Formats: sequence, C-alpha cells, structure tokens
Amino acid sequence: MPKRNWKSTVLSLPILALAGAAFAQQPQATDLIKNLTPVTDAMLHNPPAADWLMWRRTYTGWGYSPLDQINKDNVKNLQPAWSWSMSNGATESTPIVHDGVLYIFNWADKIQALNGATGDLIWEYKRDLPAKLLSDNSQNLAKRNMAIYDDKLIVATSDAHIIALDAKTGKVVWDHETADWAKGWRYTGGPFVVNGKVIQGMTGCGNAEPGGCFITGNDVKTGAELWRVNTIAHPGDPNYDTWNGLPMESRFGASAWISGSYDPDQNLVFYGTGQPYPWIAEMRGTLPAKPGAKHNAMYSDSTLAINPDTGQLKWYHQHLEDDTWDLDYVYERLLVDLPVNGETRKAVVTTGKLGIIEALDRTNGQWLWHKETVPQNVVASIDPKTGEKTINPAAIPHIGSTTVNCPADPGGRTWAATAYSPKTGILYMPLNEYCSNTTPTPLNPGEAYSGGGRAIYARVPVPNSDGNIGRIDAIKLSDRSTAWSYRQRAPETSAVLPTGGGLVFSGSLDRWFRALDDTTGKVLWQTRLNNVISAFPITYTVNGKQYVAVAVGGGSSMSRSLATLTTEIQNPDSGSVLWVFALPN
Amino acid sequence: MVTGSIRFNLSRNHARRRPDQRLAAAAAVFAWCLGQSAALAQTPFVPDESKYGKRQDGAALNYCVDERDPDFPVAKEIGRAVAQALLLQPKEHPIGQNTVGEDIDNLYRVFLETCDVFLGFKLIPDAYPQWLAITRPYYRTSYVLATTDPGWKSLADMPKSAAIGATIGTSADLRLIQYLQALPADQRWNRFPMGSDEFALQALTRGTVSVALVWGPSFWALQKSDPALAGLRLISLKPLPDSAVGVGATLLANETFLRSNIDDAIASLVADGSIQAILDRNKFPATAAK
Repeated sequence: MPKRNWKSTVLSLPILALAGAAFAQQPQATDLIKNLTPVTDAMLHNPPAADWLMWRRTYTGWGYSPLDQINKDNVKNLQPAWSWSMSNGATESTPIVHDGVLYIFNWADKIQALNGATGDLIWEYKRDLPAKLLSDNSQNLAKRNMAIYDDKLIVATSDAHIIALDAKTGKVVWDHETADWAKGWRYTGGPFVVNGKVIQGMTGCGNAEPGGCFITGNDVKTGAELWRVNTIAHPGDPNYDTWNGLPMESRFGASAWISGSYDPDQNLVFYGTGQPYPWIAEMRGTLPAKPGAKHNAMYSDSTLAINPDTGQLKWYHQHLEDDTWDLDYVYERLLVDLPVNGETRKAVVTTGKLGIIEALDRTNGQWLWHKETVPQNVVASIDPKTGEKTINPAAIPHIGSTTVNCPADPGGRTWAATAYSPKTGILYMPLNEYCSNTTPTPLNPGEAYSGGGRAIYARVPVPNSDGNIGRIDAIKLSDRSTAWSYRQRAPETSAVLPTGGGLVFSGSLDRWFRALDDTTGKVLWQTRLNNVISAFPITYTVNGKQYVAVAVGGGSSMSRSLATLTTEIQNPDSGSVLWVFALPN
Repeated sequence: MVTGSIRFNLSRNHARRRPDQRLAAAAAVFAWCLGQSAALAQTPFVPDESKYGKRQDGAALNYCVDERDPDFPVAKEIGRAVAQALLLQPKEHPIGQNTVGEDIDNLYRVFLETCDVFLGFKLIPDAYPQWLAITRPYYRTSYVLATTDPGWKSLADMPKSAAIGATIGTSADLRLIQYLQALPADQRWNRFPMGSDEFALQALTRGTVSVALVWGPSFWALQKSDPALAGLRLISLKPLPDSAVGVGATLLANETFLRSNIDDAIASLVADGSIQAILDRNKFPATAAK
C-alpha cells in the first residue's frame, strides 16, 4: 500500500478580515466562523430555510427550498454575485451551507469553506491522494455530496476513506479507511448523518472482488464502523439462491453510489442499489437461466429500507430483476405522503434509469403505482398489483449480436436528481431521450476484469426523434398527470431545484442555466455559464439575502456520454467554477 | 541479449530491408520523435492535458511495459530488441503499480506522459478505441484449461455436473458461453465467472470449480509464484475451439510512421529468430508470430 498523508491548509483569518474590509456590509469570514453553530439532530430533521445541510436539503430527499426572495416576478434580474474557480476535473458537487459558510468539494478531494456572501476563502483541505488515483482518467475523483453534523464536515474520499473535518478549521478530526482503493473500491456518492451515524454507500464494488458492494453506518464521533449491509446476497441470506446457482466468488456489483433518504417516523433509511456486474447477464452467468434456479440477482436494482441504528434490513423491493443494460435503480428516494385509492399512503418514490417513476409504501415496501416518462423498450409491462416487470426479450443483449435498448446506459434519467415541491405537489424530472445499440465485447485477453460494462453502447436518438434529447417533465404526484414538459435539443445534465419562489432551476449540456416557472415550464431567466452544468444547484441565504449556487465543469462521464448525441454542442476542456447568483442590492 | 547490430548482421531474409534502408528508417524515426505531436481528436478527457508537451529525447524509443502483466519479463526484452532494431536507445518504463484494473482511457495519459509504445496488448478485432493503434503481433499464445483431476485429458472428459471457472469476459470465456448455449440445457457444464485468472485458479484449488479457463501466460506466472498451484496440470480445451491470440504493442493511432517502423522491426525480429529466442530463454508458453 502506498503511504497516505494528509495535510490541511488553514489560511490566516486576519488576512481575510483585511480583504473583507471593502465589503463592510457583508459578513466577515471571522464572524462567520466565530458564529458557526453546531448542526444538531433537530436541524437535520427540520433544516433552517437559510441553510442547505445535506445532499437534497431534507431527509425526505426532495431537493426543494422554501426560500422565495427570488421569485417569478424578479428572477429576470438575477445576476452573478460571485464566482470561484474550482479544481479542473469532473464537477458533480452539491455545496453545503450552514450559518453563511459554504462548503464545496473540488475534483480530487480538495474541500473548501467559503464565505457564502462574498466567496472569500476561509479554509482549504487538500487530501494527498495516491498518485495512481490522480492519474486515473475516470470520474471517480468527483463526489456528489458531503454531510455536516455537530462541528464536523463529513466527506467520503476518493481513496475509500470516510473522514471528518473540523467545520471551523478544515483540520482532520478522524479518518476511517473503509476499503482498499487499489482493489477498485471507491466513493462517488456522499454520506448523510442519522441518529449520530454516518450512512454511506460504496461504489466500484472492488471491481471483481467477490461479494459486491455495501452500505455502512459509522459513528459520527469517532468514525468507527458500526454496521455493514451487503448489497448482494451472501451465504445465510434468505435471498442467497437468486444468482442462478453462482457461488459467492462469481457475484459482483450492486453499487450504492447515490446517497439515501430517512424517515424519522419509522426510523428507516432508504437506499438504492445499482445493477450486478458485469452488465451483460450472459457474461456474469445469470443468463441463461438454469432450470429451477432464480436469477434476479438480489439485492441489485433495489430499494433497501434499513434501520440506521443497527443496519437491520427491514424490507426491500427489487425494481429490476437481472439487469443486463446498466439501468440502475440507485437514485434518490423521495418520501412523500400521497393519496392512493382514496387513502393517504406514506410513499417512497424513485425513478431509475428507465425513467419509470415508481411508488412504494415506505412502511412495508408494498407496490403502489408507476408512471412512464421517456421512450423505453426494455419493460413490456408492469403488474399493477406487485410491480413485477415483464421484460421485452428483444431488448436483452446477447454475446455475438447487437441489440437495441432504450434508454441507453446513462439513463433516461441520469444521476442528475429529480426534485419534489410541496408547494405544487409536482415531481420535477431532468430527462433525456435516446437508445443504445448494444454489443457485448470481450476483455483484453489476460486482463483482469475491472468492473462495469463489457459492452459497446453506441448511443443513438430514439426512433422518429424530432431531434430534441433533453427534457424536463413536471409530474403531479397526486394523480400522476403531466403538468408540463419542457423539451430542448441539449441533454439535461444537472439536477433540478424547485423553490418557494415558484421557480425550478436547471442546467444542461449547452451551458445554459435556467429558471423555469414551476407551474407552466416557461423559461423566466437564463444565463450561459463557462462549462457543462452537471451538478446539483442549491439556494441559501446569508444575512437575509438569497443566493443560488451551482458548480459547473466538464469531465463527468455522464455528460461526456450524452455529448456523443449532440456533437455540435462543444464545451471547453477545462474550467470548473462555482457560480453564485443573487438579485441586485 | 540479442543486440540490434548482431540481429541485423545475421539477417539474410530476402523480405527484410537492406542496411541503407534500415538507416533511412532509423533517421526517419528520429525525425518523427522530434516532431510528433500527441494531439488527437476523440481522445479521452485528461483534465491537465495542456501541461504535456512533446518529448525531446528523439534518439530513444520510450516503451512501456505493465508490471502486472504475466509476460512482464518477456515484454521488457522484446521492447529492448525493438528499440535496438530501430537503432534507438531503449528507454523502458514499467507501468502498473498496485491497482487491480485499468481503464483503457487511462492509456491516453500514459502516452502523453511517458511512452511512445506500450507492449503486451492482444490483437482482438474492434476491441480498442479509434485513438489507439495496434502493431503486428510479436508472439502468439492461448488460453489454457487447468485442473487438479489426474485422469482427464480434455474438457470433454469432465462430467457435466462439474463446473468450469472462467475468467470473466475474456474472448475464450465468450466462446465458452456461446458453445454452452448451443448445447441442450441438460448437457451444459456449469460456468462460474471469476474476477481474474488468480481467482479462477484459487477457486480450482478450493474445489469450487473442477477446471479453470485462464490466460496461458497468467497460468505460467502464477504457477511459478504460488506453491499452492504447483499440482495443477493443463488439459486440452476440446471440444472448445482453439483460443490462440496474437500479442503486440499499442500506440497512438496518429503515430502511423512509428507504427510502420515498429511493424517492420517486429517482422525482422520474428524472421531472424530473435523473438523465439526470447520466449525460449524465459520458457514462456508462446511462439513467435509468423
């Protein structure tokens, strides 16, 4: 193992105080740090409107902010308040904001605390990553989110550690190694904190290390791992016999690469899992099905309901059996109480890469309903009572041939998160329409399997496409009706942000950052940024002034994949920036 | 060691170049090394690509070899021989470290940073991105079937109830899958995919599988280093088809002139017996690619 060293650069606060003198009306960095309060459980349960304390702002996973200072009437005046250059590389970050301090994760594990009103640097932590990781071209040095609790900023690192930084200084408080990065374990999603436990899903699944991925619960005070839930059925698990008779040595995947949600009423965490590896079922041995053997590959592409105190799995629901297209069901779980057949049900709503919205009863995993969005040819039908899917056999890839499946592997919806506004009762969804000509391919002979696909996915527009790839749908969850659908040529690459001001912020591959009317989908404001927007916009206030922040930057594998569909849209090779917008004073 | 001058002096093959042609080729390669730009369309994303310029050591052939490859010692010798055949100073760059796998896109950075040519790549049609080119093969080798059973002579002798541990996703594994699917369901062996040749051989020694379908050079290297594998023996792949594969080097696709010269050098080294001599000296399970 290479040596790992850490360093933390704490900048001189007095210097910042001088620099800030010209902005007497703005909060000083020193004051922000001095007045930084510990983040409590109560705050996480009911976040202050001014803050953005976790990935999707609330435990419900809504990604909604009640702030309304920026609204339909004045959004036309929105303008840059400040910007901050970030490390060049894939930029998929969600800032965290607390008491006016904005925390941002830069590519390759540089974390910064900035004055949320001015963009002044307060402190910076740069992890000394192994050189081999830094020279890796893949996007796994990006992280989608961090967590904050008490006086600590919690970060999942690119070398498969979970660390806690002092929120006031950036100094390392604790550092816990979860797995060996050299074997392919890595983090791309981030943590959230529940009941003093850091909940974190593992990505990469150790490439072809037997046994697949897992979700852990760590003590937020010490970093010690308290429990681990395997995302693949291990010996002794009641679902062990779901892998077509394969032994443990031959089971891979089920990455948990997106953060989860939490329902305090039931004390349950909801986490999604990805597909089994390799993506082609014939290659991983779950097809052809052996007589009498189940081959749905539990617990891939499932919702897992986990007790955060013990790691006990209370219930699960598998959304897609024996996934052979890389069509994960790993994304955000939104907790919404919905009318279903005349009664209010506590629902957990999720949408996988297929773009099918699916609702379960979050108390027991019972199937409630589904709604399709983008064109897809993988699922032929869905049982309305159980949610069981009948697969279109023509869409199943076979070794030695090329098949067509819609959507393609980045998904009809990508990791760019959907969001729910309680103000409108609408689910806002960034979507893309396209298909894949899928051809399984062999490894380089003698080469070790190192995770992921083993197929060529040639992405093409859907049949009879009008040329529009990107789309935002607004779905009223109470009756599943489509309130509006905004369509455009450029693929949608960012999460959406609905606000109390009646706006839905969104970004796309062509660098446009927009605010749409949340009830009509009309574009009310737009501005062109320096690079592709493939991250999670947020909003917050400092001293009563509302800001909208979004990180941009190229290099994300998702945006690169979508770019192959619209080659006329060119973006710069470099330039990651945190943009922050506000109304003029 | 086979030096370039000895090899050229021994050369009498009519298909090979005359000495003046060889010198002209070497001079041209020298000129290429000075002037070549690495800029390519459709190449992988490298965030800091702009910091890489062009290498100035035009009198050298910078060749990479992967320490994780089982043919590492053989590839080093072949790289040296190719450089000397081109009258260039051999500069060897071991790559690999301790990571398990490698994304092929990462090769782009390796070419920007380090080497002109990377040895140890297998010739599979359509398996490489367009920004990469593959030279002609310098040796051919194959997949092998290892077992602990003392009686079996080929896969055909193995009972249908037994399992094959196959390193996942290799071309031999894909042929095995297609062969099994062509059989009636009740006449198929179980196939258990394994993450690596090492995992497949470990599963064999544990008894999880009865045979292991692995890359021949891996078996050669692992059996040398792991006493637990000493008792394994090889049996015929039949009824599976032959799995021989050519192995060569890769380089950036726009390096057409260098590729042409390296192809010529490999042809010379094969024709005069230099490649086979390297393989024999290392007792490596391969034959020079004719």
